[in-house]
Amino acid sequence: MNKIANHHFAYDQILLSAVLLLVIIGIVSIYSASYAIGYLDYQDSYYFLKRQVIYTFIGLIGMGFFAVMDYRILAPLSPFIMIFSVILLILTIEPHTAMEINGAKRWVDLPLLPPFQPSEFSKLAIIIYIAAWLSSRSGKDIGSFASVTTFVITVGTVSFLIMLGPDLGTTLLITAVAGAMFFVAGARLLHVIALATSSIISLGLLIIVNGYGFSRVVSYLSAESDPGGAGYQTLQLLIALGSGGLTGLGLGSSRQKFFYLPASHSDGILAVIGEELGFIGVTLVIILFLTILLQGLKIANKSSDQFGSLLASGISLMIIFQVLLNIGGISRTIPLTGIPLPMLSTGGTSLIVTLSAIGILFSINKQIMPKEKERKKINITRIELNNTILARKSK
Amino acid sequence: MSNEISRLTWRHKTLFSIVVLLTGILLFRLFSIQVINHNKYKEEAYLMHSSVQKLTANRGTIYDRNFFPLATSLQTWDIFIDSSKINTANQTNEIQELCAFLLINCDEILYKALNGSEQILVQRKIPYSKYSIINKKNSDAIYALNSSKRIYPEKNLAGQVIGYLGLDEKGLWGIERDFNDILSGTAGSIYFETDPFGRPITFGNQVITEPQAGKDIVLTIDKYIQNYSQKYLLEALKDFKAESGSILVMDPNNGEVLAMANYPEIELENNILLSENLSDNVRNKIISDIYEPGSVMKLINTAIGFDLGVVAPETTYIDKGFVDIGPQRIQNWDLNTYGETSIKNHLIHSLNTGAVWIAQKVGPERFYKYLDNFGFGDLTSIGLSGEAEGLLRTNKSKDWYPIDLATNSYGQGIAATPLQVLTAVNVLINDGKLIRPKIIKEIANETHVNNSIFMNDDQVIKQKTSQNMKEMMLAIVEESIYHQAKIDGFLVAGKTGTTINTINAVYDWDYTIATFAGFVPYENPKISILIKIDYPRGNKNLGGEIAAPTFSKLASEILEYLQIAPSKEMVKN
Repeated sequence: MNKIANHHFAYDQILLSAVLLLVIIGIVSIYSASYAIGYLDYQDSYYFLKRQVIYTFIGLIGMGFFAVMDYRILAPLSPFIMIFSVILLILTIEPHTAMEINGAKRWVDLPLLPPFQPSEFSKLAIIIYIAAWLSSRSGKDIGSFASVTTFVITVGTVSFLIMLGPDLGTTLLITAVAGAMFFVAGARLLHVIALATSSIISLGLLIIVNGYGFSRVVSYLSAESDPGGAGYQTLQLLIALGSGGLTGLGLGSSRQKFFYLPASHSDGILAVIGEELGFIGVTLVIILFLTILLQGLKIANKSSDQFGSLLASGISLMIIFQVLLNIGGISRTIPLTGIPLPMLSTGGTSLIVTLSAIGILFSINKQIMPKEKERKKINITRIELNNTILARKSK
Repeated sequence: MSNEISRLTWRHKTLFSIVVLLTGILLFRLFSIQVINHNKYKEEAYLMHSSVQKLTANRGTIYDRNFFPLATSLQTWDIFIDSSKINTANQTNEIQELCAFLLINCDEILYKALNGSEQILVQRKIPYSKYSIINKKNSDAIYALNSSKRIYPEKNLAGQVIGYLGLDEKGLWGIERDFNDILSGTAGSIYFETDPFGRPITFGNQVITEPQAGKDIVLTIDKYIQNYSQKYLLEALKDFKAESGSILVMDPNNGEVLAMANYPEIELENNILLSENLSDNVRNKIISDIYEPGSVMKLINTAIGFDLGVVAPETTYIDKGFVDIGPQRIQNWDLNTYGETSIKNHLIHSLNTGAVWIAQKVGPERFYKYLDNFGFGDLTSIGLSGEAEGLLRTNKSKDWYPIDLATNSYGQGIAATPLQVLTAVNVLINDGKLIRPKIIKEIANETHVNNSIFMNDDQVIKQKTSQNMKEMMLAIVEESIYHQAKIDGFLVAGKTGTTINTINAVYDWDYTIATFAGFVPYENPKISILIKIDYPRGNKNLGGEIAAPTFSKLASEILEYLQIAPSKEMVKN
């Protein structure tokens, strides 16, 4: 009985606890942050809460599905997943299917489906694709010129398509995750440094050429010069965080969510958490995310195959990089990037994709469970053996 | 934990370390924002979220002595437009409807609204009836703030005493100004938290500081007596073709002012701030304008003589028709010579020669000492601002000449306010005591305590002198067959005065001030009255012809109102 349970429902308790805690914090915070705006815009205070609960439900099903499924079938499917992702990205700029919100083309509106953000899906797709590609090269020279070139072209194509959105933040995120996976796969340090440097230079050039990103940098640097306009969001986020103090105003007591804070329930959710639960609440959230990263990296480390290891690394890094970009923007450490906080911000696509990705982590973990048990058995046998030897010697 | 991390590959360790380092930077940054700079952001949030609405304190009411309100406040609303909320044509229509409803021209308001002004005043002080209709429309761009309006149930009654308010409801004149701090109270406020559109935040903090209503003031003025005074003043001005005048009615027993009427008057309810001759009309001339008291002064002069024992009522002097003081000659007003004349007759006929004769027997030292005791040349301490001290040159003054003593004795060359004159006359009636005049009876249900309580009711003249003077004043009116101050059924005592105003240093009979100061009933004085009519233009110009009949009419109406029984002696006759 135990064996069967272990085999089918093997899971990482720490990881699952952290994920479920974050999902619950997300639902509570979104309700708190959105009931006023929900009432104003949709005459329903529960509008965003209901949607978040539904998306969480779908996301948990996705998580279970991927946890039960053997992740290894994703490797041969990865080119198709990638092509599917690219097609979806093209749909965001295709006039018939594109849905533009606030000047950004990030949404696709297809018949029979609710609007969704393909870039969220492509975050996972590119991780699967790169993991499959890099693992297929294992044993071969990953530091060869051909490898680097292929890597650059693949990542570049996806980045370019997302950039057309324009979505500078997601581009940055995907480039960083891909680079980190490349590094984990055993890339030469020199190549990694060269790629990072050239990425930063192209990013700088893009910001100067691309007006959208540029204005964000300007408002990051000089928010105070236009507090009612370009600098508004930056300053309101800081006021929300700062007025929360160490312990916060109390759950539900945010003032800033009453229309002072743009996107208080989506990208700005952490500012509301900071205002209501204070520095302590924000620190707890960060610790939960760090826990997910650590558990993810441990799974990656223990994975029996290269694909699983890279996939687990990519997924955990994708989550934590989004956290860094989101909180960095909210705390005005870096410019605002428009990256949501995984599992906490509203947005169905992001939540479902993130939970599904965590499901893949469980799947990878499940495959290594028996191996670990075998290792334990061997250890026990060794101890027993040693004990026997010692016993004999003492005789 | 560290054991678990040590199991990672070096590449994973490197990435994990970088992430931990970046997270550390973020946590430090968050700590700086949330904990170190907490107060700064808290302050910013407070300033941004808080909204304060003023709660106007009800201004106290000014009552007459019988608690009839003379000036009271009504809650009103000021209507504004918030042009930042004008987004649709619908709202422009609403504003046009509002203008049509308030019967005002909308062009300027819409022009302002479309050209950047944010808060535009549409109309001030609209009553509840109109406000409730506007409020029902519930327009986003139109809002109302509390205000209040001063209303005057008795219209212009005692206007110069009450005074008026500025647009900010602050007293600018009269009692409204002098007692503004008491009347205005303390404004309250509601502090609450709002969203960026000014809507209160659910569960936001709310702090209400209740306004402290202003306190009420009760005057000694009697609205009926005031009303009679204004009526007969106006009638006299019309009858004798004069343009200005004053009537002062007091209770000689306690110094309470029962009426202060001045003409021209102010129209409190109309937009008085814009009215012509504002400064002339609002002046309470009874306390602020001085005049030469004329023959009424002979009463004071005689009282001094009696009090010092220098003369007695039946003492006689030889009237030659004139008195020479150095090169100057003083004559009787009628230019007649009366021969041997008693002091009583000098008062009845109002002879200047007799007055000079008494004053010279008294001498300047004692004469001016007495005038000072009577209150001449000094504020009466009635407690109103704008009071004049009067002009009194004494023998100590540099520009005093012996002729001044002579002219002062019959009320020329000395100037006083009507209030000073009647206060001095009251000394004669009131057993010789100087009772300070009062106009404030109560403040906030407490009997008013003003400076005058710290001033003793000085005994200016002996009680006997007072009795003698009352008899003299009675004789002046009642022993003259045709004295026009007489009232049927009552014994009237008083004295006329005719001041001939100096035009280019020459007395001109066309510029007289006709006055009468008297009291009634003689046996038990209830009211003392000073009538003063300036520059009558008709064929009459003497106090006896103009002021005395006005006294008679006014006093008889007041006696009837006060339900004072007629004199027994008169009934016997």
